[in-house]
Amino acid sequence: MTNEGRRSALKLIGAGIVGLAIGAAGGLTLAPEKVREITVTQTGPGGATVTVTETKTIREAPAARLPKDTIKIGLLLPKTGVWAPYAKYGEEAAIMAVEEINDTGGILGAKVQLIVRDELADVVKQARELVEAEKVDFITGVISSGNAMRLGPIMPELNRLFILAGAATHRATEELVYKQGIKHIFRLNVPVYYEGILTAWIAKDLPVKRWAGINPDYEYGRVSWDLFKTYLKKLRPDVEFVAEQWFPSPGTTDFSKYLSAVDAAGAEGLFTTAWADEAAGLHRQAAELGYYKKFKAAINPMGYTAPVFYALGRGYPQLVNGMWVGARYIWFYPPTSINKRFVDAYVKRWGRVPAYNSEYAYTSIYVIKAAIEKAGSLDLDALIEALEGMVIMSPVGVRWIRPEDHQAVHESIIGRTSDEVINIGGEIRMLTDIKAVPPLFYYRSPPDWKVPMIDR
Amino acid sequence: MVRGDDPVRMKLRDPLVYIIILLLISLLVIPITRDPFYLYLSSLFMILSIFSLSYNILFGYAGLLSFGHALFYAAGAYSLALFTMNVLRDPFIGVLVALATSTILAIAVGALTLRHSKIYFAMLTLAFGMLLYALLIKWRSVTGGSDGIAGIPRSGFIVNIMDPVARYYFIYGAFALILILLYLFHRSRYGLLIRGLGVNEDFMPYTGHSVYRLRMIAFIISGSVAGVAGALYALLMGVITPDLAYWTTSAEPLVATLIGGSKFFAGPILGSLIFIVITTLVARIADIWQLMLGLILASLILGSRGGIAEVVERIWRAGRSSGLRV
Amino acid sequence: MDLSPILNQIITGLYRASIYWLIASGLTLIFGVLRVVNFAQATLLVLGGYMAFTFYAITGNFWISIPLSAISVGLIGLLSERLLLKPIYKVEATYQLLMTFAIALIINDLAKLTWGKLPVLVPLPDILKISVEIFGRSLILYVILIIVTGLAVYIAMALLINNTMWGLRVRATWRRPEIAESLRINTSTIYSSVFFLGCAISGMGGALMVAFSPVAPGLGDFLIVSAFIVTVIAGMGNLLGAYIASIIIGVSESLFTLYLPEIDLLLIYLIMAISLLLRPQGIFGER
Repeated sequence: MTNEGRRSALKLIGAGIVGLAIGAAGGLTLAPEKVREITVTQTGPGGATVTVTETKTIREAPAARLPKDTIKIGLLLPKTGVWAPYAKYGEEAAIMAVEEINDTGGILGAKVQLIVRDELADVVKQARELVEAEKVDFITGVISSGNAMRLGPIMPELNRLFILAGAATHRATEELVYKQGIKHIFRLNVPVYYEGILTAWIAKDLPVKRWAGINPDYEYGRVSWDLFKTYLKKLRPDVEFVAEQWFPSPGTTDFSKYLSAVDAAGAEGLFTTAWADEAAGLHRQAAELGYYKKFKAAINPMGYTAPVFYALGRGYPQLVNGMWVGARYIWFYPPTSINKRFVDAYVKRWGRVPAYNSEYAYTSIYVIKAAIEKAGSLDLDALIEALEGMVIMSPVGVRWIRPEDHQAVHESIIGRTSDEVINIGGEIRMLTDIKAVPPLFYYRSPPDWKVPMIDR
Repeated sequence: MVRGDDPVRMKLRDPLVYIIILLLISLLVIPITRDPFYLYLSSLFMILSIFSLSYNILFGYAGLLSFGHALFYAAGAYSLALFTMNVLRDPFIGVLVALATSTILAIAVGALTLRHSKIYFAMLTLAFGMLLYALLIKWRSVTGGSDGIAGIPRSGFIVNIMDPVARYYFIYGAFALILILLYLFHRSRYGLLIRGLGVNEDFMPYTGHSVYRLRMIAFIISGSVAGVAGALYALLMGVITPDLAYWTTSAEPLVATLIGGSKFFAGPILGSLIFIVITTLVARIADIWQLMLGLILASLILGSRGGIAEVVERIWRAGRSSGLRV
Repeated sequence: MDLSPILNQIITGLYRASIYWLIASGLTLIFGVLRVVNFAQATLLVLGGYMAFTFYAITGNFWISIPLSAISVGLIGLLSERLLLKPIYKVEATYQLLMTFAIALIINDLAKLTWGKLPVLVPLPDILKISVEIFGRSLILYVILIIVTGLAVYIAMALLINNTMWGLRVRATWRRPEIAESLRINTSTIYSSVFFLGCAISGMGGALMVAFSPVAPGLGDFLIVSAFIVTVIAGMGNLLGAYIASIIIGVSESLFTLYLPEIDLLLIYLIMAISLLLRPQGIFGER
């Protein structure tokens, strides 16, 4: 990395626990008054798992009994085709969370039952079947942004909470929750602010002026590329966007024509939001066809999820100015005891490190638990009230659920592939130059959806 | 063999009327179960039935194999969505707009494709269906691209079908109306003539009717009814995607019709019922619905090309004739 | 103006063209001789990819996995022809097409049950990763191998049909099955051998493809449409036409991606529709 690079604003951003503190303080505004009264640590096997800050009134309420013995949670994940490698990582972590909860008394005495469905077999149909035939009490998961936007609007009709854990389009929270007022949706993961805005901070300092995009042709790819272009232009007005290619997704297995097309346009840097096997395929083919010898840098925000780095193994490419890859949560960060416990348990049980969506699936079950315990019932309005403004300690770090748009605020990292290869259930090429960026630098916030550190 | 297959005499004793009445009555009382899942499944069944009945006018009646019927289905769904979201917010008028759109589209596509027969017709309809699919994917600013359109309104100044039961009866009303109209068409002179096309179109000129004109009538009725089915689907799901125009959607009514029986008026309805049961209820137990449909299809093509309706009819006739002899 | 990026794009298109051709060749051969539109053709290519995955896992050798996959896919094709198509040769052609559609459904799900729903891939042998300079562009041997295989398949099929006794019988059956039968040509054997060959070529195509792009459920649904586009542009049942048409479609698809990425998909189907409307017998077909 050049001297110029090190002098960058990224240095200003800092790393580590400082970021957590900013995130915990609510990122942008102070947490509501009532939330600060009591902190309860709920214990899982072998120690603390989830810490919930609750109001006093709820604590003093008589111990609630739920009207049923079993809480059913429907988990939607992509189970077929090029996106499918994600599914088992989510399913495995959710199973872990359910077992932990059931082994320690369940939720207010009720057992938890998990029902997993394929979100690629028509997500609306699957969600309907989950609610109407399987009678689930909550819906969680959903990795595809397109699916989130399809399912979101019918949540009032299904009359269930949708704990979105994966899908990243900012429109799900900015439009569906904030503008349209669909209070049934809560999102645990950082939205495309990560894909489009955090990456702009990275691209800003690279010696690359001519960027091209190869993105999946649906909501996620479209909004990520739009944000990246908008914010990179703000941070560094001299960049050019020389080509944009859209591949059908899910389903693309051959990227050769998109690669040759962006090469023909004279791109120096490649930005792609391909994910799962499409990301692995794109990188492998770009390396095999020799394009990664020509491009100086590449950015793939979801390039460092477990299914991708395991699929590529030692073959994960390195570029002159960096193959910048990340994930909303990466197993080795943050170095907290709660994360260590989660990763150790996951590796022990499943033989591999967790993917980012493992953390989300795991936490979503605990968030549901926390919400029910705080509300003392399955009443929808009480659950919504319980979740709004909730602060949760989870493997990814402190999560604060913004009450306005139901968006969880947490910290994420990004880095570039290094020379180091380790082996945990498969070869993993490690990252270097890791940037832990506080949410203040890339989260847009209501009501005007500005990024405090950019749109000042 | 005195007890002939004379179509006119068959009609006078048509048991079909009773089957239709029975079907309409049983669907009428489904909401008593109060189970939203059954409401939803029955709605899906009625929509696929309309789609398949419309498909069979081409396939079973006129003998035209189309691989692009999803063109009209998707056109109906998208025109309802775009109209109710951008022009006038009302589901009922939306359905009428879908009907108009698909009718106009059927006239245009029919004029271009109906002079071609057999495999060329199949390939042309496939091309037109996929053309709409590509248009829906690529014209993102209007159609929402591959993400489709979500949040299709269910209330307006004429009808409000926000409530699942109201929505069910709305779909039921359309289904009943279309079923009765198509039955009347089935028994009409033109219905008979178009069915003649499927039997042997070379004889048609001797009846004084142009094959092209008869095909056109079949195509327009078929396309416009499919458009209504698509519009109802959009209202039921509240969300639509370009997949509605993909060729595999065209294969759905084809498979349902083949399974039920393409030479019978009620064949597509029976087939739709089986199709929904396999793709929804059996798929919940084991994800092998393609295999099941494939095996059923293969054995029917080998054993009984008239579909399950033909199997039922054979058994019924065998039972009756033996009964008469006694 | 530097032409090399465009040349590179054309080569990428030629690579895609070869894959399309390896489906379309089987489709054309089978349609030409049997008058059956084989809807399962692309599914068989995908099956070839799955087979190669398994044979590679057993033998550890990429090159051996190719003929093994070709033969096994050919045999599966032969089996389905004997069991499912042969009994209905005398009925309407529509039902034969629908039977191949049923075969595609069955193979799809059986593949899913056997290999799971996740994509599978065979690692590209190192020797095929070696790059050579052509027109100032570096090109890996794999891409050249696929393009050359496409051409070789065309030449081999042409030689087989034009210069062998079997080819003579095939040609006779191709033109007039009734006369061929009266000449004591066993048309049933010809049908089966043609079906075997047509399926084996696609099986080989899948085995070659899977070293670069993975196979997954649903891929066949997508590829069959491209193969149909190629065959209708060529004129159904015209081998040379199908080869040229796959090159036209592969290369134009690639160039559209470079120059008109926002409407590339639309243009391909437009070409299909216009070509069918103006020349239903195909560019290379005779009325």
